[in-house]
Amino acid sequence: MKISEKWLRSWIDPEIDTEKLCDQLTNLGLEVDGREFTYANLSGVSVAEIKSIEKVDGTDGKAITNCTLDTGRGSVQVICGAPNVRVGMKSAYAKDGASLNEKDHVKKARLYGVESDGMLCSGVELGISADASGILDLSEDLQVGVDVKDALDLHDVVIDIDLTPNRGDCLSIRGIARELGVVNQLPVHQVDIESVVAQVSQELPIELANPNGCPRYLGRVITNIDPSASTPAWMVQRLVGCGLRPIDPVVDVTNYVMLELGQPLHAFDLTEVRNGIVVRDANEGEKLTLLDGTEIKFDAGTLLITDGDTPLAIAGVMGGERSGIRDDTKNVFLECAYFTPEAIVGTPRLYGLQTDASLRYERGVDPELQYEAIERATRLLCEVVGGQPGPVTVAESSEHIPNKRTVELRKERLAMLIGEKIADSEVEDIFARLGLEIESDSDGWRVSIPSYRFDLSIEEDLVEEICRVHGYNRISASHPVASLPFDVELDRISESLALRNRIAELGYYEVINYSFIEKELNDRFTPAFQAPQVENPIASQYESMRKSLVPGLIDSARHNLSRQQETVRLFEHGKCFSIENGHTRQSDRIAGIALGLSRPEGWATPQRGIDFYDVKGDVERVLALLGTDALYERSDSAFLHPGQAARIVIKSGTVGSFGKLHPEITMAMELPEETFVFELDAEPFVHIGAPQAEHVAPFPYVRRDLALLVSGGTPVQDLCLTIRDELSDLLSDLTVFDLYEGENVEAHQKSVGIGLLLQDKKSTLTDETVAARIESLLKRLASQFNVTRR
Amino acid sequence: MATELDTLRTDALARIKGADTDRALEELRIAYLGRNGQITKRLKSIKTLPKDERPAAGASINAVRNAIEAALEEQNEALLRSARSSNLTEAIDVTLPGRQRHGGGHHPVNQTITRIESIFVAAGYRIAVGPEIEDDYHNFEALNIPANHPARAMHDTFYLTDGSLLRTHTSPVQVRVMQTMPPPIRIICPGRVYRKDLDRTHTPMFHQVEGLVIDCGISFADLKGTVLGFLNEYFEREVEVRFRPSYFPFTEPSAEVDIMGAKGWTEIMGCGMVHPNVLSECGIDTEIYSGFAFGFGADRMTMLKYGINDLRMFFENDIRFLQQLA
Repeated sequence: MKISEKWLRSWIDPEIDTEKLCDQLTNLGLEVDGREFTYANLSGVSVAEIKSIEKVDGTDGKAITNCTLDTGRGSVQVICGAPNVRVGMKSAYAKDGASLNEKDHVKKARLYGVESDGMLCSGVELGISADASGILDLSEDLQVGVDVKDALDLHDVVIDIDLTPNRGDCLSIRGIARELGVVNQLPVHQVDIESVVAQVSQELPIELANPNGCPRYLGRVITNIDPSASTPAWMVQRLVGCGLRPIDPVVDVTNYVMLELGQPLHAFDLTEVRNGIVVRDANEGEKLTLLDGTEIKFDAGTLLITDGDTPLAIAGVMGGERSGIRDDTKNVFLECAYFTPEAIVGTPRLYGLQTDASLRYERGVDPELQYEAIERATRLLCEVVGGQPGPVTVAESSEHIPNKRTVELRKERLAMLIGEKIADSEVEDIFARLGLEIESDSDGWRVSIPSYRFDLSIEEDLVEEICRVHGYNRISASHPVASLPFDVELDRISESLALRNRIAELGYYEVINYSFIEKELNDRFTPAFQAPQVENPIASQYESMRKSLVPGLIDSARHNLSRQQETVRLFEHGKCFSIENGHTRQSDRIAGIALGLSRPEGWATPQRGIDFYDVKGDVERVLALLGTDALYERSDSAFLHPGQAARIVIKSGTVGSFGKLHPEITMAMELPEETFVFELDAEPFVHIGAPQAEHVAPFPYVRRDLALLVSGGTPVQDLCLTIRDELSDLLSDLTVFDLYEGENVEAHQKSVGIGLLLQDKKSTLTDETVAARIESLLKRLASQFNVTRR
Repeated sequence: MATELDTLRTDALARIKGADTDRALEELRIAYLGRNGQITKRLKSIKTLPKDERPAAGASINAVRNAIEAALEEQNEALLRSARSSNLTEAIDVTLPGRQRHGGGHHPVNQTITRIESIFVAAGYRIAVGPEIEDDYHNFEALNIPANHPARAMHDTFYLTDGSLLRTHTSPVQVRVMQTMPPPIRIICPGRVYRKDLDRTHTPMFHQVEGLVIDCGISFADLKGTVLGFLNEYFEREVEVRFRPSYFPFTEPSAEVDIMGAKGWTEIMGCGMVHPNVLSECGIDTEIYSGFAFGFGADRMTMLKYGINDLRMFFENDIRFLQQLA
């Protein structure tokens, strides 16, 4: 909410500067978000006196004059079309280069064949009054040459307060002034609100068809207003100081009272209200064209102001076009109602209509404010546009109006929740300053809450009030005293840390991508399941919850490639989402992408592009964390090259896959062909049990190297599995140290060099034992895989 | 004979001293001490001497043999020493760079989260995590934010087509813990959260760390002490902090915490005493227990610590950026 400092100070004027005042508000919980001067864009306009006037010819009958001005810095000539120019008049002169607002700049021009060095301005042109009928007719006492901002004291500060939703009571000058009164211990000036005596007897019947939503509706007819009247300058300037622009006098008055007291009002053109007012819920499909020209089709239940049949306005939100105030409106029906927050909340969002009125009704308006506000508005209206007011018509359902509340505050509870004792006398003083009446006894206080503090309803709310006024920063700091149970159900370190550490050590940088991606991309990478869809994405490329981390990694890799990073190794840990059998699954995954050089370029390292086995080595290092064996099977992943991809299987099932990206994808995504990715389920890496130590036997190792000839299609993994099985009691380590195809090896055959490190854990292995075991191993390999020894 | 032996000895020692290769030395060893070596031969010939002369002859030959052996050993040492010292003069260029490996590291935001976790874990907190796709109950209702509550407008929630939502804060984790574990509770809840917002200081996904303490007699002063202690530890200096009244539906009293930076006060976290409606909803007796909660953006904390001014940097994942802080 924006408020004028000047206006605020007319209610309460503590002897502090703007900055201190803003600090006070912030420390009260009314956070000042920013402040700016009013008329910041008004410059180069000063007081000048019209010394002589000459009629300009050839203007098609328009009364155009050439005025000679005393600007205080010499004499200038300007062309002026205003009817009210006269010799000796003081007005506002905008020189060449002056700016009137953000858009309009004054330039020297030739008009009707005459040079005009700047212009004379109306109040509307300067934004300081609503009178466009002529140039400003300024007081003769003003000195020529003085800037109009100084001459007319237009200096004001717009204070922008970011109010929290609970403080609806502060959506007004009066509300903010009350708060400043509390902290500065000053009385708050009140405006004089007296009943306006009815001059005509005309009334409109008002019916409350939904007293839950509208328990009170005050209405008043005002006849014979002057349609030609304009909003007075002082009111315009206060509205401007609150960030509003003047619209028309009637609307300006209702806005003014809303800003001043916090009570939204609405003025209808009486001729369009016909037979009276019925406040009722909308029927499904009813329509209304609003003041801003948009047509709304209502959902059932929206609270409406109607004339019995047709809707006139959305209660507490916005009026209709047909019943709005027009230039020629002579008779007005003024509405001042209490709509409950429950009735209004949600409506503005439903129809996309956030207004100053809806903001106040959603957050709560003082349920006792209507009588005052309608009198205040009537008085101002009659001052500004004349007219004869009728009596106030009251429709109310007192049982639906919120009761006055009392809330108890226990002394013991107060001290416990704050952590220190605030003296009873200070507590009582704070209550008094807040306007809360109390009954006290030895245990605590019964506090009567005034109607405008509808946010105070429980004991803790009062604790907050005490803290707030006492000062949050004056409360001492202590440390919780607590038992220290060893709680094994929750973690002491992030579950994924060991896993992420391992991958970072392997030379991958961690990235964080959004969890939502483009739907088409999502389904292309993981066709298997549906993905949860965002109903209101921030952009269409963020509409689908990712089923895989790989598309995001590709995106990050592309970003880096486009910035000349030719070697890219990235990983991400995060949730992936899918809908499986009607249930949303949210699982932790970890994935990486690698492209470019296998090792950083260097004089001692042969330069080579990354390949499948580089990435497999990384994957194996990660899987080593599990402490169990993994098997590699062909992968059918949609995004991997079918010939260079593997699925990783551990005891509990498939844990992930890795390999070269599918050429269709690297092509489409403009990635190097040799781009490799891996993606693993992170859950098996959580809470891995401690590995169990084995006895380290003291007996010597025996190494045997086998060169095996086998069909080129036989997976080496199968050979190794057989070897491990056959030698399980002796095998300490197995290395595939060589792979050879080509000269000296038959076509479709390969030679696999396998190194075996053997040890008998109970005695020294003899050559004879080794020879016999190798012999039977080779027999088994021969029968199983047709292996021969090279 | 003694003279001949003396000559042999003198001659041998001189030749050994003159041997300048391993090979030459080995040849000398064979020439004197080998199977047919001169000393060996002489020792063999002792048995041809009269019995009474044998001990004296044996002793003198053995003395020469010992001297030769010692000389051989000494010369061998000398040769090794000279070989070693000549090795020492062969120098490689120690200024050439070593063989490189790819560097890697954690994302700055996750580093921050890990640090924050360790700070709180050291103070006796535990880490709790939960789902990112949440239901209305855990994200809002249980936190005293009923449907149509104005505070919902502060959140700009992403909804999913099935009616669930992306959590707007990690508070639902607090609810889940409070509903399953009896007090005392001391947890922090880090994780990704989502709000519909995108500009220099907002991204539609960001990271929060929230904390919750529930026990007997927990006070606002305890909250202040905890927040101050944490901030000093996190920023590794005495930070100037102010608390100012604010509003969250799930805490009462509520506070916003600002720290003093180069450009004045900077908002850094929200906190407050857990609202009795929230405690009751989670089955905690508000007459026995009270508690506080706090929450802040891990991304924002990282920005403040490392002087990063655009939140979007975190999600561009530029290696040149990631390397700087890895």
